[in-house]
Amino acid sequence: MSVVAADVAPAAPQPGARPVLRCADLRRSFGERVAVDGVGFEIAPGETYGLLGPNGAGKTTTISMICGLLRRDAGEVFVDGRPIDIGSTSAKGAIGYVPQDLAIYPDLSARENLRFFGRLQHLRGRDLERRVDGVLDVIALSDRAKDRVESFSGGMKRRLNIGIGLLHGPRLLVLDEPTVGVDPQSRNAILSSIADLESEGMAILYTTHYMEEAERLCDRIGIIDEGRIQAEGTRRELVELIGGRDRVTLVASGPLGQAAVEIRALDPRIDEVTAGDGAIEILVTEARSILPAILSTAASAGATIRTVEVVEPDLEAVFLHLTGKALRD
Amino acid sequence: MSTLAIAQVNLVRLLRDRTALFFIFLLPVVLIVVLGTVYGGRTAPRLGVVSAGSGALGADLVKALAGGHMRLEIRDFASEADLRSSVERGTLELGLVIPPGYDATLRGGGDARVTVLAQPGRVLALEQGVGSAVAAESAIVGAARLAQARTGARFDDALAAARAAAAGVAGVQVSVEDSGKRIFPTDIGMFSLGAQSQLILFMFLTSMTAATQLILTRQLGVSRRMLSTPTSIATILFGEMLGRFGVAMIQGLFIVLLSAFVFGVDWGDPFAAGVLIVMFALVGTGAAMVVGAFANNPDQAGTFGVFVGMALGALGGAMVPIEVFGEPMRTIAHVTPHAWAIEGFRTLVFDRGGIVEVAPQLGVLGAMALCLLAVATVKLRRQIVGG
Repeated sequence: MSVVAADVAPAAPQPGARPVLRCADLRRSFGERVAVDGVGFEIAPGETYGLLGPNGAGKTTTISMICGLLRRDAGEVFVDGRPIDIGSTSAKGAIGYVPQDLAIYPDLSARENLRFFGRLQHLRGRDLERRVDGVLDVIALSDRAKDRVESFSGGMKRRLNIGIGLLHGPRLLVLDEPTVGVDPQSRNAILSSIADLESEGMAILYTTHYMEEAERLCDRIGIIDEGRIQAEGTRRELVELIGGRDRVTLVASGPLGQAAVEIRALDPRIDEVTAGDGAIEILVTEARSILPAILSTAASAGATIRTVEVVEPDLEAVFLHLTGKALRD
Repeated sequence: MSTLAIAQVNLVRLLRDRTALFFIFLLPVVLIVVLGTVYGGRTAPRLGVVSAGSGALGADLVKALAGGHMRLEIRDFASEADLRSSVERGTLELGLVIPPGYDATLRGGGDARVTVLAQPGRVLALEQGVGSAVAAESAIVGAARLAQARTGARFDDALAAARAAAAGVAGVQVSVEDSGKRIFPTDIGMFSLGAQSQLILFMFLTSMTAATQLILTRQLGVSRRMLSTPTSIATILFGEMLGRFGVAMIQGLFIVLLSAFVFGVDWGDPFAAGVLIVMFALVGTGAAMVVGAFANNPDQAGTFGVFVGMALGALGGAMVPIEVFGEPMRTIAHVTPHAWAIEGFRTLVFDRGGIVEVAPQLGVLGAMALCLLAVATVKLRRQIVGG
């Protein structure tokens, strides 16, 4: 799947331009449970913003409020300068929403699904047919346009799911975990096409719990957990939050406290050492070069080391640092 | 336009479902034909007659039976064996065998014997009625033979004189009067009752079938996706309602038009019948929306919908005519929309009523539709916008 950028020049993110999406202080509770607690961010034209967080972090609830699908308890959303709420029908035309579920009719053909959602976007006649043909090309389903969706593979259904969101040329494309359950080949194709869309100047909000997708696609990333944005920035900015340091985890037994003290004193590149329940966590610059000395010191302090894990700085490490848990927890 | 798009997609999806097509277009026709053929509109008792070779007097006897007050439907049979078989199988209420030579025997002064065939214990009154008619005809023949013997006139002249005298002789007149209304008029077509019942039964059942689509649309997340477009929640709900209403109307119009043009069924005042169908379609729409809103999955909706449709159909007189219900059941039946709709059609077809005469039924059906649609709207709205 690839997007042909016919007469649209590739556009770089325009942080100074008026944001396509601006949301602030979004809050939503379900009974006693707070799902989203003060989330806010902006997305500029041509920018891809990733919401990275584990399942249940509040990504879909945030997206639902942004797309006007869910009432919010507080906060505000503006898309292309216009406020969005459940009743903001005309303003929703600026949004292309691609839900995590395959929200398509399996007993209709690909073309019929596109036509149906096109009509809901107030597209008519030749314009509708032209756009349907264009999207079918983009999602590489032109030769299967008349086939019922129920006969499609999972990847083809995902592509159609995305195509429906593109049909009306939205200013903001909202993709909620679009690659869940997709085989690696189709995932790669989907990610490539999304990257192409960004280059066409579309603002994209992308939620995922796959770190590698966020790193590959997103200009900026908001790390979300327990309904709050824990940190936000470019990948580089986020990694710098943990000082660009490697994290070494020694799963061990014995006098771990004593071992931690001795490791801390070993080298000035070792910034932080904490002894916990059956493990020593070490934040260190250039872990690979200093690792033998660390292991030797721990052993000489009487610790019995069972496993060693070295995590070089990436978004997973940032997430771990910020929340104390892994993305896939 | 979005409303129409949503309604249209519902219709397209339903018409692609082969099972639904069977229930919408084939089964009702089969049932109308079967019910019409077996039970439809027949009110005259059937008398089978074997009269080959019985002569003019045999023909006179058959004519007297056909023209009598019993309004018999006479069917000719070639042999006594065939006649006996039909009586035994119950396709005839009664059989009459007039032997060959009946005419010659009577003219010659002999005794002729006719045989009446009936199942034991059945239609005693009818049996006696036929016996009386035979006796009356026999009395005229006896009078003619007496006149022939006394005056020497020809038998045919004496018979004509006896018939003329029998008509003019004063005696005991038995007058038969109808007490109360006939349950069903005698002039309705054989398919009329079946068509009315099947119309009501299947409009409701088909609506219920369409409820499963609503659940699928919800479960697939298509409803929420619609809300992400420039489409209001009211438009989405109205579109879904319109889709279900369209399904019910297609079912209704199919049965009405087919039964009218193919089977000659009379539906009464077209305008009033149309309004009645629209009102009942709205009730079906409301019921389908309620099931679609409250059921958890399509299987549950399908099972529950068919059960409710059949139960209400049976209770409301769409399977067995409501007229044969006892009084308490007839009152209870009116908790169903089916009973009101059927009552409306009876008024239009049997009593030749119009829109004014069916206004009470229309009012009740309208109120039922309004309540069901209101409940479904509130529930679906909550579901789509997530509370």
